[in-house]
Amino acid sequence: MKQFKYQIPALNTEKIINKIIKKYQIFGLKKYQEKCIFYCNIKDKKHIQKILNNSGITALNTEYNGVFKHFKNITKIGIIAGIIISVILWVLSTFFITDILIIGNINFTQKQIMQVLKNQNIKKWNLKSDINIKKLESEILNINYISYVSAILKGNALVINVKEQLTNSEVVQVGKYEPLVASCDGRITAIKVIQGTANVKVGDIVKVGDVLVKPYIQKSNQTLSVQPLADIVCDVWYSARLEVKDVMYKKTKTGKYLTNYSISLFGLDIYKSEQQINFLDYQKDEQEGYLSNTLLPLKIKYTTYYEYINQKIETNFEQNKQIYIEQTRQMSLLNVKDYDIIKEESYSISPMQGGNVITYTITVNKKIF
Amino acid sequence: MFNFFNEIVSDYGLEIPLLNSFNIINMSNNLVYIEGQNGVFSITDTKISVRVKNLKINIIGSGLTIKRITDNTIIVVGKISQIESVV
Repeated sequence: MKQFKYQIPALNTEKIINKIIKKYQIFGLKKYQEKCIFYCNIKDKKHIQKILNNSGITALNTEYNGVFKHFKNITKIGIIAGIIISVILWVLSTFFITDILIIGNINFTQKQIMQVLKNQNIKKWNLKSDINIKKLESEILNINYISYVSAILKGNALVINVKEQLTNSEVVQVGKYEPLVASCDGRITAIKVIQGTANVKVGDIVKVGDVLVKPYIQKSNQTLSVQPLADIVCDVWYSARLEVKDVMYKKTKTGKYLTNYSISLFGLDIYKSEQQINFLDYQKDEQEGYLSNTLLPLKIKYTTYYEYINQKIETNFEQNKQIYIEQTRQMSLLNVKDYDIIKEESYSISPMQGGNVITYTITVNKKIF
Repeated sequence: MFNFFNEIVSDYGLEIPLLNSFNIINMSNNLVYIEGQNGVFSITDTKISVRVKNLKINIIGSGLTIKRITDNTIIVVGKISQIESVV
């Protein structure tokens, strides 16, 4: 292919050509009085240039041929096109919202604000001009607990700044509220009621679902319904139990197995191999598939019976006691969260018929409200 | 698929040792194809000489151009008047 043109001085041309053609093809070679012109593939260009350099030949002229004449400019065109496209995309992007930021104290109102945005069909990549800021602000202001709202378009972001109403320590809202209930079993170690009526005191043992703070207060012989708020710290117990029997049986495969198979068409068995199973204890494994890729849906079903024996294992509890205790501890630790502070660990061993029971308890002191 | 050289060899190869060095095809004195060349001796507008096994092939004519050349083949186009082999 005549992709790249070389023009070299007509001196020792034959020697150079012989060197080049050992590895690369040459096209359209023509020798004139003072120059020699030939063409090569673009991929060979660098290698041929190297041969010419090594032979001390300086090309009089080199150039891309045919459509490849524009090859050199493609990179430049690509860069310019890339810049233009980037600028266009950047200009276009300034018309859209690329981020929605909600800032302020949003303990209770995050979901409601998101709902307002959804109702007004405001989401990322919406046109900025489609957003009615005033309407959005007034809608957000209608949400309970919000006392102030400010929405602005800053750059490509819609920034919603909210201020929630501060909870009054005495009486805030009147209405129907749920009481604070225990989410785990434990013993109360500290309780500070901010709003509502305490139903438990320090030292009380509570179970899941027990009411901790009632959603009302008594004021001047009047019952006022309030949102219960409190700081409650509790000792929570995580226990695990491990039964270690003196004699245990473990099911193990003997390695013997037997396979029966059946071939069926549309659910009707055409052939069935029925070998007698002489295993005392076995487990069955079934596998089904199509026999061939033909139009006939012939199915083959393999049923394999693996023989098992019950292996008797005698445990030495006293010798392996520490291992069993550690196993039980690990089981208890599964319930402990990474950030929980372990306050105490204890275990007990009690005998049972034919073995022992280990109970491991981890006490964690955590803030439940 | 038909192959000219293979056909010739299958017909006469047992009697005469063929295809052991080079092949030349001349197409209407306008194109010469040489298979088995080992390099060019000289290139001019009127004469192109190539080396083949123990021989030198001279292609003589006018307006001669090497259309394509690889490590063992060469195609010469132009107005060809004579092809000679020199020992």
